[in-house]
Amino acid sequence: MIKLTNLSKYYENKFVKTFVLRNINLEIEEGGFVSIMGPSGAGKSTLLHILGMLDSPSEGEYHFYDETVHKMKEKKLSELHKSYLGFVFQQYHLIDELTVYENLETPLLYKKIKSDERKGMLADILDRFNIVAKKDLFPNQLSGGQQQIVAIARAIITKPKLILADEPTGNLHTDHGKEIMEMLKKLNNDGTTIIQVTHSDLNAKYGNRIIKLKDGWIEK
Amino acid sequence: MFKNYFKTAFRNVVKYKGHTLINIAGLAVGICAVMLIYLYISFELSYDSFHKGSEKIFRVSVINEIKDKGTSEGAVFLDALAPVIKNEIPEVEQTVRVSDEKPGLLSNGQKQIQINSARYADSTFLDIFSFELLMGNHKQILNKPFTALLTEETSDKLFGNKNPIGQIVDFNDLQFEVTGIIKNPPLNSHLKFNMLLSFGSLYQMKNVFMGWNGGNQYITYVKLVNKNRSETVDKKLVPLMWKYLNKKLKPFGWKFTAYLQPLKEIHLKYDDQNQTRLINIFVFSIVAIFILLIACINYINLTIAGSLKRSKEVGVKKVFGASRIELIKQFIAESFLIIIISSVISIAGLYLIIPSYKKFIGDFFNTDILISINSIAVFAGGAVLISLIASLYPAFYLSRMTPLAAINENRLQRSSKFNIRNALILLQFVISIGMISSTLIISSQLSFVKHRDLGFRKENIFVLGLNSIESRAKYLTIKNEISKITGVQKVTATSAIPINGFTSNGYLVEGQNAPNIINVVDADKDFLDTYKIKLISGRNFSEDFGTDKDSYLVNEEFVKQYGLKNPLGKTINRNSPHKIIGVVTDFSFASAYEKISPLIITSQPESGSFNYLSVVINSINIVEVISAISKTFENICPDTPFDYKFLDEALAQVYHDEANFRTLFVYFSSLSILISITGLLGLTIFSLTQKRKEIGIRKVLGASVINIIKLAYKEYLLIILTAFVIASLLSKYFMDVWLEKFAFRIEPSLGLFLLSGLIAIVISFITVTVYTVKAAMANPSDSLRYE
Repeated sequence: MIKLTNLSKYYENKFVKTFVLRNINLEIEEGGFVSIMGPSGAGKSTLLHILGMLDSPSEGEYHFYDETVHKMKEKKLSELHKSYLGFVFQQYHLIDELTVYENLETPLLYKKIKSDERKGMLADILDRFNIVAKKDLFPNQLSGGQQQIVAIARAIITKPKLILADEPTGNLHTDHGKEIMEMLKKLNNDGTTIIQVTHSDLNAKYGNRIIKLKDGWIEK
Repeated sequence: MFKNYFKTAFRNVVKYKGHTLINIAGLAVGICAVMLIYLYISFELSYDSFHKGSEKIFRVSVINEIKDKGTSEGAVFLDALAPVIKNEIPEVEQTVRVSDEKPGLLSNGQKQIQINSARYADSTFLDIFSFELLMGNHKQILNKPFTALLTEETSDKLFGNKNPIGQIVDFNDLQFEVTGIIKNPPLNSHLKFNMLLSFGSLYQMKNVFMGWNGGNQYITYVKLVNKNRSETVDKKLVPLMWKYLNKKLKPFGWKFTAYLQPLKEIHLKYDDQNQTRLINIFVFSIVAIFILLIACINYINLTIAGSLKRSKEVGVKKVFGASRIELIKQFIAESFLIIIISSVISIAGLYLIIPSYKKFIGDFFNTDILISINSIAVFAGGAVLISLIASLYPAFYLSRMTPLAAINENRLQRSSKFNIRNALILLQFVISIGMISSTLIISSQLSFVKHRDLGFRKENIFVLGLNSIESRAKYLTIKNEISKITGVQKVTATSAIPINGFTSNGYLVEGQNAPNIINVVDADKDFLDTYKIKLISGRNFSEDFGTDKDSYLVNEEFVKQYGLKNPLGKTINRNSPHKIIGVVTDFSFASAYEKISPLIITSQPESGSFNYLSVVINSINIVEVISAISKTFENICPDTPFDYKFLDEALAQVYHDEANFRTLFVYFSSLSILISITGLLGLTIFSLTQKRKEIGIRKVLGASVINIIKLAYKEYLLIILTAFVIASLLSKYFMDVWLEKFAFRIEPSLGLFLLSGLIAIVISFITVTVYTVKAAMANPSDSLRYE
């Protein structure tokens, strides 16, 4: 599904290159549940952002199915986002001005899904995540765990092939964290590929593969 | 989708109330100012377009070239021209002759009123012009000698509610039958009149000379069959002028050339004041564009500043698949919402402002213009245009950000020194400071003009108009009687007063081989004393010399220009020789637009009478003295209205247009500063919110309030100083163009420019400081906890 070849990421400042990722070669199979781990500053988030097409590599190649992502224009990337990817962030990143219902609706609007179909999908997801009662609340009226549940619901509402989660439980209480992780596991069992960044060995155990990063290198 | 755009837009508008308020206020003021300017300009451009087929109507203007003497031009010419044009030039469908303005007294036997503008006109008047006839037969107006059309206003004044048709009115001792009522000429008509008299009447008057040797008192208008043939007509006018005039006049070195002036261009291109009007239109168009620009810049800057708060939303939307176009649409929808609100407020504002706007620049347009299709189109078009201009940059800016940068607010903050933002602030300040210094220059020029030394006394002079034949005939009696009133110090009779220039005639000065056109005023022996004009050499007119009837006084400029070494006793020829008996100092008898030119003062009015009495009165009990003068005048001339003015007020009146220009400039430049300042205020608030944490940390590290204010102001000081330099250069250049038209003008001093820079710095400093102090005084623990 994903193939990175000799991929590097660096920031150029005057004459000094500061490397964040060095010569990454990586393949991820469809249906996997991969955890990226490593100390702070190892490049975990950058790798996830590049995988999620939110950031572009400085060198090397990135193939997503048959698409050559590293050569893609903004418009095409936006298409890929809409069709295949779902994101979950540590800080949830719900839109404060929109209600729970509207937040969930946003990706569907950008996918130009018709109103009737949209309503069906929304009803279904609200039900599945057990948040029907909260649909008219604004994000700041919810607890962190509830916000993250909404964020996950939003990530999967378009039925993405790949979910990228950046420390999804980082801001949460242990119980809530466990709930979120089980939710991800269930999605994985249903066939969705998941890549998460995490510090916690416990969370990594939900996955079936661990990639360790240190100073921008993949530790073998 | 659109519903969604507007929903988010609305919630954002409500959420950031302060931001929205500043944005709306700035835009509303901007739109208001631009609409006011638009109304003024569209009125100026609308002149004479209400006539049906106005593009086919032209005025004939005649250029008179006298060999070695230069040229003069005017539309007021001979009555004989129109008939030959109509007969010999087939492109001309119809002509109408209209006389120059005749002032006088109009009476119906019971009531008498002063008329400023009666005009003789041909019966074809309404075939060419579309003034509305309210009463009377369209086909028969002005077709018989001694018939008259009154305007609605004149009829109301004289007859009240009574029907005036068929009544006989007396105008300057001539009787006319009223045959119709015509609507008052609209404000945007270059041709103004209170009454029209039949042209045929002129041919019945013994003392009026008509034909090719007659007087130059008539304007000819023509209507062409085809509007594109005016050049053909111009060409055909050449042989026509030769045939009737130039053939005979060539030996005398005279030559007349006639050409057509399009009716609609008369007001702006061919009128006496066209220079001023065109400059005003030009200046205010630029001002309008500037104000609009400032308002848009505000919007752009505030939106970008606001985007720092909004970037998370943008980022998240991008991550979930929003394309740039969709984001751009959303921002445009938001701008549109804000602009609609601003427009509604500005329309309401316009209706409130217009009455007072009219009060100080004159009732020169109909408020109806506001609801005309054109205005609505301009308004709607303008609103869409502004929303596009103002939102495009923010939209592109925000949608361009990578989602990562957008989501991660901290990264954005570090790169918040947008150079484009600084450039826009710079532009705003260039405009504002430029407008302040221009306003200061205009004001000081006008004050200079007002207070300049005219070379004569202007205080406490009371000018009495001799408007009727009766009062002119009895001027000496009136003068003598007024002199006896206590409080009256001096009285003089003159043909004109030194306000807006004196008439001129051809004179042959000794030592010159051809006549020159020289300014002349007729004044009695008390003129010099009354106006405190100094005699340099020779003597004043005196009753002791019987020959003084024919003697002249001249001014210094006259002596200089004609190189007279010993002017006294030299002769000036006009019909007969006249001796120069004295030389007076130069005094400014024309406006500040003109240099002091050579002047002849004669003791005898050429037409046999004086037109004004100038009275120096005691400043202590003005009211009593005037009422005494009025009584004396009415005793001697019971049928003539008492018409008077104070010389200093009349002098100020000459610069009325300029004073309006200044007032408007003051208002619009204040507006532009106001808008710029709201923008600056908005930016300061944003940058302080952004720096809340930084300020908190600095305070913990020991920074004082002053240190923090410095921090906030440092950003803007350099921008304002740069703006000051650019603005000073620009306004120096443009104001020189404006000052050019004055013969008496100031040189803008450096201090003036420094002052305008200082004003901008002080105002913006206050704005920045007020908010910074609040932030700087805040307890650092609050701002740090907030993060």
